[in-house]
Amino acid sequence: MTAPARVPAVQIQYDSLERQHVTARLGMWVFLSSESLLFAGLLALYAAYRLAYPVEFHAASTHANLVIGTVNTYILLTSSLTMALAIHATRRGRRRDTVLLLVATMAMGLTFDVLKAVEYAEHLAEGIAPGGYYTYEGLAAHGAVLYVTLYYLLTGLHALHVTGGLVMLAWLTVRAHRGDFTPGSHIALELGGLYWHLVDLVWIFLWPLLYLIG
Amino acid sequence: MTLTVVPPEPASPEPPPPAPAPPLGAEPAAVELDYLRAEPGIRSWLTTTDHKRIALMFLVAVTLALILGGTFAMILRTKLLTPGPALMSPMTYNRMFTLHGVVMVFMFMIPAIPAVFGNFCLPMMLGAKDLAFPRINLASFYVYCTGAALTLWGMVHGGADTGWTFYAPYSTVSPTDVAPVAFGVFVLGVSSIMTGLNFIATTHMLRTRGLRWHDMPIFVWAIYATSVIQVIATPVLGLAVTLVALDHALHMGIFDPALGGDPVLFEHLFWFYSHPAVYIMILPAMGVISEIVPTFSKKHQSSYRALAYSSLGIAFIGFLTWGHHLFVAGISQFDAGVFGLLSMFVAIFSAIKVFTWISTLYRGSITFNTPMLYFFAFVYLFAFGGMTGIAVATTSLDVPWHDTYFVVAHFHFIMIGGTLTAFLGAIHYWFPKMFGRMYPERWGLVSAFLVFAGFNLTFVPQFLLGNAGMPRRYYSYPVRFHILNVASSLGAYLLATALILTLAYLLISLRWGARAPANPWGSRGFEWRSPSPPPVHNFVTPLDPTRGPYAYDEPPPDEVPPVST
Amino acid sequence: MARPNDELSDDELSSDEHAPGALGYVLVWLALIVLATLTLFASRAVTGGWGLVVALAIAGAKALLVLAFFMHLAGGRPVHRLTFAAAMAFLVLLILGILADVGTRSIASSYVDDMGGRP
Repeated sequence: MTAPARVPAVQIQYDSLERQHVTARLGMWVFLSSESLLFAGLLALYAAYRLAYPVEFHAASTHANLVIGTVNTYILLTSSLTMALAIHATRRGRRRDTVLLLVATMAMGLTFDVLKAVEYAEHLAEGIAPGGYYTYEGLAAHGAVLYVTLYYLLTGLHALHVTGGLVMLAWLTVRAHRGDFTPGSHIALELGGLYWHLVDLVWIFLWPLLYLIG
Repeated sequence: MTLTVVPPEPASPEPPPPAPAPPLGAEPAAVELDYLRAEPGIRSWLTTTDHKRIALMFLVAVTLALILGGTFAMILRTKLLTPGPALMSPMTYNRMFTLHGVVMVFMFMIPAIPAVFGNFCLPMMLGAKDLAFPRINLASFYVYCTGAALTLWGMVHGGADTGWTFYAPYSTVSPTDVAPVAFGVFVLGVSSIMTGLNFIATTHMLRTRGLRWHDMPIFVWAIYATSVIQVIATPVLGLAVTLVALDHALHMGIFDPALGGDPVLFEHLFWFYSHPAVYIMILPAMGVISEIVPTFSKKHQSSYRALAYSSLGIAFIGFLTWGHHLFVAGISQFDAGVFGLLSMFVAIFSAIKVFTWISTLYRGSITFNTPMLYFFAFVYLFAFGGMTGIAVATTSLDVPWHDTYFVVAHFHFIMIGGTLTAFLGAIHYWFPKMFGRMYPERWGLVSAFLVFAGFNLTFVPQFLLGNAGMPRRYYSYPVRFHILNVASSLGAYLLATALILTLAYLLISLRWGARAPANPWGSRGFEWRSPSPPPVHNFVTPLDPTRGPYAYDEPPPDEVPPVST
Repeated sequence: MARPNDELSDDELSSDEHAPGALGYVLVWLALIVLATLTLFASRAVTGGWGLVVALAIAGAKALLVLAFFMHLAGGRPVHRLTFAAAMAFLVLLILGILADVGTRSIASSYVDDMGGRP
């Protein structure tokens, strides 16, 4: 978003820095709303195909790597905590804590991505690939292929968001380290936090839908 | 907000003298330059964050898109002068109507009014100095250019022959280059979301002191409702076209029946955006009309709230009707019934608007300037297009009409008859404000009449063709359709001539037009209380919203201080 | 909605007042972890249609916790809640509109009967 430079400056159209920050927050919520609709289309496809192929979806989902999925769930939930605490530390004026907590958040995000890659590699080695590349013999029904394609699309889109979030976190960490954020003015950090929580929010739904549907 | 005309309040203060002395403490002789000349040089334009300059850059961009899309249309209509093969191969024809649709919808229609006139007017109508996020606004322009460039590259590279609707499964196996065109559409969508986000935040947070929601000009309500649709619906389109592009490039098979997929689901996703997108196109147009009507009938809106809330109503109901595009695509009878029923509700809010405009005219003091002429064209064409829309949203009638020229004529009535006429009305209405020059009124009136005549000659025959059973998107047709096709093509030439004429005199007026006063129309609108063209920060003295934008029972606020020339 | 924008209260201008505090964040996190673990067990215990309902209900509860406390929707401006709630409503609308179609016809039978798609 339009984050202020190192010295927070009030842009010409605002009467105060506070109003500028309130507006940025609103803008971020509008963006997050828009962003969730991006997932809506895939979720709708999931719902439609699940309704059409309940048995195949069930069979295919039991083949998903529940261990990695679950570990990733705990990781993302915890990274949301460290993100919230990082902002909290900034409010208390503890720059060092902020940086450490942001680094911890990044580490967890990175672990999530790495585990995801391991999971993908495992599946691909078995021939569980999206669409026309699917060659796994164990589950050959149409519904299973559609489940796998949706699995890749949903988790892939989500992983893209995690990766984008990591880039954003790296930038925020640099800025936090530089001392850009003060207890009274740290809007970029706050907006970054909102984005990271949204990534968490999406996963909260993807995890049961893809790994746990009984 | 009252219906009756209130006599002028005796207590209202006399307007101050035309050139008030600068307030004490102000820097002497610091008269602000207007936004066009404040910082000269190409570089300052390309890196500007001034919403007015970005609006002008969008104006240039969408005009180029209109010319491009229009050229395709002319070539198509020229081919259709002959029933059999002529001028181009069927494959080229398919590519050309696809590009006509893609360019017109995503590069012209969607951004036309919001990104140009919304950008220019919204902050001024709120008394703000700029949009909430000026850098996002500038970025949205470059994202638009990137999307347009991608799409155009896709066209040159191999084109797409799917129609602007990219229907699966054909779009996923088409031998043409669908992926870059689809991805270009995705990028254009991102630009659209950025614009909408900016407008929502601005409307919420940057209204000037004392300007309440119910004091805002109607145009702002319309743009706000449009922005909500842009923000909510566009991501779904982005996803749908990305899936098609992925499918085309990598064979994901998500819509492929051979892999168990269901192509109808693509249509669901596509129309979840593209039906509301019709309202992205028409709502800003209605907003423009709602400004033009009171200005040229010198009368308060006959119902402010009806116009304001019906915009929100249309935006909401517009989301509940997408299924009526799928009646013959294979959706269930149950869903068809539900969507058919819900589609009827859209007409209610549209009718509220039409009746409110008409009743605003009643006992008004009407002047027939070019924008007003476009309003009359708009009302006729929109009502006609809207009523035929209701007809095709009826399941039984849709079956014979679906994918015929009847549908083509219907949506051109809405899109050209609605959006393009309002766009032309808007450019004439705000031309003096944007450029500080007047356009030649006589030429304006003539060309407005020609646009209307050319339009009707083009598309009324297409209604008849569709009703007689001529399918859309076909390269050749039986000889019995020849006369009507010739008429339609001649109408298209007339329409193009009128548009070229308009472009010509507007370009000439940029330099040689008479200098425009601050408020040439005697409007009470907020944007007219600033000089023409406005200074960089929009107002010389902060906007005082206590006198509303439709206060025609009070004298015009002509106390605008001059800008240095 | 209908009020002048110069009436932003101090509360709205600063989101700090509503932040739960470090302990609050940790408690929310604990609740999330407990709920996640609960989902895991529930998915083994409850199967079939109800399994989905339970899983989605727990996910919804977790989402509300994240939204309310981590994302400060609980104490923030009402317009944030309205914005996000509207997006969620349209998300549900899209899914329902499609399910109303798919649920009342059969994708499987209309396209893949002759291809041996069903086991």
